[in-house]
Amino acid sequence: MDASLTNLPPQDLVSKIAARNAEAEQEFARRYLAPLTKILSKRCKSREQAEDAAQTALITVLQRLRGGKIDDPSKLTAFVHKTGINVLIGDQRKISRRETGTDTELVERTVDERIDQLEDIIREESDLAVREVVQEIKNDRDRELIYRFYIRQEEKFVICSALELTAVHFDRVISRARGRLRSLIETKRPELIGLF
Amino acid sequence: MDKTYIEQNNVIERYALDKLTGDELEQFELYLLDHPELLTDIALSEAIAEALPQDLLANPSAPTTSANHAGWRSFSLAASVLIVALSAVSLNLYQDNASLRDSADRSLSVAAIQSQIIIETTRSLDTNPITIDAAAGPTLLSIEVPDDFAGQELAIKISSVEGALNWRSGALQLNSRYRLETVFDGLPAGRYSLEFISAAESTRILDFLIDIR
Repeated sequence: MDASLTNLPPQDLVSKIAARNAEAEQEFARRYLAPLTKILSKRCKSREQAEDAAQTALITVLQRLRGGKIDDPSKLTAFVHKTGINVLIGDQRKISRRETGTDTELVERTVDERIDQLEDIIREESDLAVREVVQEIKNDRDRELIYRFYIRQEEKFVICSALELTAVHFDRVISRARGRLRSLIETKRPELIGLF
Repeated sequence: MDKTYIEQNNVIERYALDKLTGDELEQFELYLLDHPELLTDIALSEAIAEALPQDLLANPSAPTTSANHAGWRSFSLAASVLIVALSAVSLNLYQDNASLRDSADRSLSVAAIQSQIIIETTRSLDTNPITIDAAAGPTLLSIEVPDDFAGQELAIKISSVEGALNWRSGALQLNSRYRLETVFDGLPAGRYSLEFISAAESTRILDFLIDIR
């Protein structure tokens, strides 16, 4: 794929797809399928349903783009988002994936491997790595912060008030835990680097 | 929404924990579509929540029993943006002895508490009613509220839909942790209305339903 397409602004991507540029279509699918699938999976709690809805939504948008039927190309992201949500809640059930077989293959082939790879790596490594992250937190108050935020799911201001912490300290502890987890996993599984 | 807002408001972690709602959720989703590199950070945050050892805190005042966050339920109040999380658990939950000593009802010892209901603050949205398991004996009701309630006295009213129970606490004062606490007898199975009432004005601030099964 043309590397220059990767950072192409949405409005330019729209223009190229309208001109039937096949690589621009691939970039469109590559760019949006993974995050849209994630967004929809958080909303419906079903990975399979989210994948289907995301693919259907992107095919729908792609067809609109080919026909030059996007009113404001700069709002492509918002259009993708809205279409995804609509498909998920069933507003566009009439859309048949069977009628768009070629497009479906394009969308499925483009991104799913990256999503699966990301989730597989983190699933395989996270148990041990998270324990290692926790063991590295020596400050009892920081451990309680992590516990109250992730397990008890308390609000930030409640935790900061109860533990007499500043918001900056809170952010630093939370950020450091995630960063350390990433570092540990990337050391063992360097393929995670640059996956997204 | 931008990178600074996301970092300063722990948006990635809150998204991973399903705690974003409304405009904030939509704005982050739009940002995520344009910044798929955040998918890795989201997955890492989800992994922390999933894999975090339940016995993380190993001191006497810390939780020693499972507090699986998946069992926590939440909902909101549009006006005062409260969220509620309930869990019927044993007495060894996170609640420390100091805060129990501060509770409005001092007549019951820690050991007498059989279960607790914890109500947290947030800016989220969920549905009624909330279902929790029945627990015999005294129950600690612990409510964490936003600091804009500071200085107010609130009362808690629990009533069964069938009219078999009509219980109301005395005026409760927020403690330094912005928490109201009281103790009431265990609730048998059934549907209940839980109301928070301004003690001074007797006006209802929040109400919601609980199904005890």
